[in-house]
Amino acid sequence: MGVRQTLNVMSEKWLESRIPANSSVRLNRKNIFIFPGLFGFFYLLMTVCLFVLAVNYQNNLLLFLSQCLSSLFLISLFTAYKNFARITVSAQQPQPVYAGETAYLTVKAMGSAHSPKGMLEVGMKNDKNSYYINFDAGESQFAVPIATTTRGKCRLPRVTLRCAYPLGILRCWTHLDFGQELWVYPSPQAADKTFSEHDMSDGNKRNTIPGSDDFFALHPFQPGDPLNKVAWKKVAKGGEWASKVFIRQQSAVTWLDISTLNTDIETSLSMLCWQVNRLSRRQHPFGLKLGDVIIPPAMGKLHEQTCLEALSLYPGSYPK
Amino acid sequence: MMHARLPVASYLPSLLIAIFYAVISVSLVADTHFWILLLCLCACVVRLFLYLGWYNHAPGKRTVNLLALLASVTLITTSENMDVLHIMVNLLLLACSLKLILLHRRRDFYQLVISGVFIVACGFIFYQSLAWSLFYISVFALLIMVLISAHTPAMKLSQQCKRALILVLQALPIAVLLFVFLPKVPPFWKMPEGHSGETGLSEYMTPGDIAGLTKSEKLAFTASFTGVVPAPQQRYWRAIVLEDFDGNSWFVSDTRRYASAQLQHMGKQFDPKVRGKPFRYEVISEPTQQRWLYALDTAIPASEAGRRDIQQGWNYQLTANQPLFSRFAYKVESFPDTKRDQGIASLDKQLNLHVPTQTNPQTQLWAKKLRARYSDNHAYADAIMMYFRENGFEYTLAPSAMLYDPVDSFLFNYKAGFCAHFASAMAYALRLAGIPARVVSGYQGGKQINDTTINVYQYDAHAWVEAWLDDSGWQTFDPTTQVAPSRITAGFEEAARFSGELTGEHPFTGLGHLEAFAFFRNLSAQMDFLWGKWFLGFNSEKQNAFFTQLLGELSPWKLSLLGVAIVLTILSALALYFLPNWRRKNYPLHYKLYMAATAQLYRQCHIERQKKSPGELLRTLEIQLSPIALTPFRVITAYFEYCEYGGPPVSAAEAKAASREFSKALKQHSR
Repeated sequence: MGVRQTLNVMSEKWLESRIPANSSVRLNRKNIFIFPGLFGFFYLLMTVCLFVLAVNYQNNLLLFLSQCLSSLFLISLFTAYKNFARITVSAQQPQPVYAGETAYLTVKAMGSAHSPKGMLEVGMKNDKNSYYINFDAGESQFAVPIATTTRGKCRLPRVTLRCAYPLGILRCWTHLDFGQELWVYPSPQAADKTFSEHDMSDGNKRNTIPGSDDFFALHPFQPGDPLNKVAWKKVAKGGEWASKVFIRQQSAVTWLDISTLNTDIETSLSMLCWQVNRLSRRQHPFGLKLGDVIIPPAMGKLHEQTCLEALSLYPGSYPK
Repeated sequence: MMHARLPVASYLPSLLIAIFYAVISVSLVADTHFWILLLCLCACVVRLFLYLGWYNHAPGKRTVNLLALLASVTLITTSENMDVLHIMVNLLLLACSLKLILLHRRRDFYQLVISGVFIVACGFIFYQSLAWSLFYISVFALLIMVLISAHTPAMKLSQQCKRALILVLQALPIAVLLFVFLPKVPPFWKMPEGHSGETGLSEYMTPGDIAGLTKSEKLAFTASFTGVVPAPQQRYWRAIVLEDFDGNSWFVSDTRRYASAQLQHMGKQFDPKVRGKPFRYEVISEPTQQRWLYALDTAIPASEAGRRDIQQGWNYQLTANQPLFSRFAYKVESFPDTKRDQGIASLDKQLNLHVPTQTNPQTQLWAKKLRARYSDNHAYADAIMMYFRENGFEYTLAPSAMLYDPVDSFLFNYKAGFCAHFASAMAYALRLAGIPARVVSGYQGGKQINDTTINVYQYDAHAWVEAWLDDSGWQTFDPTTQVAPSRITAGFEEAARFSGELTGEHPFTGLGHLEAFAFFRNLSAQMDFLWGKWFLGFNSEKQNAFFTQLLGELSPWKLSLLGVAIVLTILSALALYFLPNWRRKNYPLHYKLYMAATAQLYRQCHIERQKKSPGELLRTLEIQLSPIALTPFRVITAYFEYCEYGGPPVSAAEAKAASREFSKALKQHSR
């Protein structure tokens, strides 16, 4: 481990204790860093040069200029801090994505009584790319793109916010941890393989599975239920949202089993992911077997999500 | 992205910085090459076109680099006779114009701003009058404005102006405090002399060469007297003593320079014994980039600081230890009755008897004859003066060129010239007769702008003769008085106007005659004088005087106390600007009490008011708060409601008592 890495780890630890994770943060003395940037140092150097010039030329105008510059530095320090400390930052839970896609973390920066001025630079820590929220133009949020490469559940890195208002001499910045987690599902890969449809219990027993043939019951509405199955009459009467459930007699459910695939793990997971998407779209019930992890057959948005999350974590165990 | 290209069209900061460079380059036209000014203006026009969107692609980097190469070669070849400072300004302006064309990153902005501040600083070095200073200060404010607008591009221009103004106004008091109270430091190292710009004086004088006379009406220095002001004919301001004559020109003697350096090295100081009643005055000299100073004879520095910064020359000439790059104020006492026989007589005589015999044969012959008639030194000198008066000599500002044997040509041929011709001829004639003589160059006269102050302008430059006739030492002769007495009694301006020679050429005509114009000229001269005296001339001496006035007798602990006081003042200024409480509106009592109570509630019990009305809050608190705290809070709420909505009356005293009780109860609770 190099020195740089060690330092990184140490600074992360320090940040952890200094600015603990929180989904909404009011910037204040505890989490603001303020220091001259490169321009700030040149500015100071210039002030010193002017002072030397003033003294050698015994020129009071120059002397006053250098003193003006130094007091401007002081004023700018406080103005910058005060402006930055007006901001309250929060972040929305990012939507899950498939590996290789870009996730977006929406960072919201709001002012308190006085709205902050200038431009807020937003970016992920240790990432060179950054983006601006222009307060003067009335903007208050930005969706920061996060590139993903590998599947899994990742804790988002800290978000760095910077502001150089008013003169760019002093930079205020902070590294905030919103405690957000991002699900990265395996990237779907089309697979022709048809999975066996077999019963969990004995072959004779026929399962009633959701279908479109016969009306079966009303279930409370779940996000993801098709809108054409909502019991609108009930809704119109002011009742709770409910979905009509139709059933279809079917002999078996599809079991997606990783052990039946002969490819390497990542490809298999990608194929399974594609299948999960496909079956969910078709509203075909399916179960998932990933070694020890077995997800019983079901359907719906929630089920799809559960399966995708399990795929993301494989071979780790699904937390439940 | 951090280093992304800035927008080009309609990007206000880039236009603002172009305006800045256009203004500042025009203001420095006298100090920069004309082609650099043109280049800079072109760059500004390019920026303007890009801003307006009439032109969409800035010149490429390669083109500009090529241009830079060309321009720097040109700069090197054309800057032979320039001093370092001027070369630096030219170079900076050149580099900035090219950068201005390429400007597309925020970093470029910063570079342009920093260079801009340096150019403003150079402006402060070159021009220090009140008007120029105000001009450069406003240009500097524009630069701050540029920085602000680069960081708030979406803000309205008026808003940006407001922000810049607030910043500058907040910084100004602190800067003034620092300026007045921070100790004034002596120069860190010796600076080389620069080229004197437009001054009436130089370290050599060639009477035959007409270019020797300046008609500039720039101020040379200001003298403010305490007590008596000398009459115009007494005001011979000595600046440079020219002791070396080669037949054409008079120079500052190298031997004299060498001798002075040696004597100074040995620690020998010239300390002339003075007598009689002195004139006491303070001189504020304009920057000359040179070391000579101006004083009436015989002058000695009058203050401690003066003795430290000023060197008394063995030829009664005062020199500053540092070249005058800025206005320089010094206090002097002049004793006109002092005998000037105290230098190193042998050296004086040796230097001032040297005569070149190769040139001016007619004058040599004439001097020989004259000397034969007047063997007495005084009589001989008077005879020369008489000769000027009685042989139709004329005072003119536009004499003919006299390139060979100039003294001969002047004395016997043209018989017309200005002070340098007369002085040169007389000093030469005296030397030919074996009388030590030299030319003194300086200023004569000056314009009295009020009861105690005299302004001396460049056109007051003058030259006269000093001769060692007998044991009483050096005596002053001014041959010019013989032909143009008004030059001395009424001043140059008057004499020139009278003779009509300046008509159509220079500023004394036309407007100069108007009453109002004269009034404004006088007013601006007075204001400039005050500006020079109190701001530019605010040196360590004046600072000390000010401290003494403020604190009485100075002592280390008093000064350190003053230092602490200054730091505290600055801190309180910052607190005033930035602590929100200071500027909070003066809320009515019921507001204050209620807000204090809810704030305390949040601090000690972590109960937030959120957006509940007082009534709602009270209802929630009824469950959470113990009765000891609840009862007074009920009273506070009732008082608030009474004042705000007119509920059942509660007196202010009751509410205050309740507030105290509530605070006590909460403190107990938190323990």
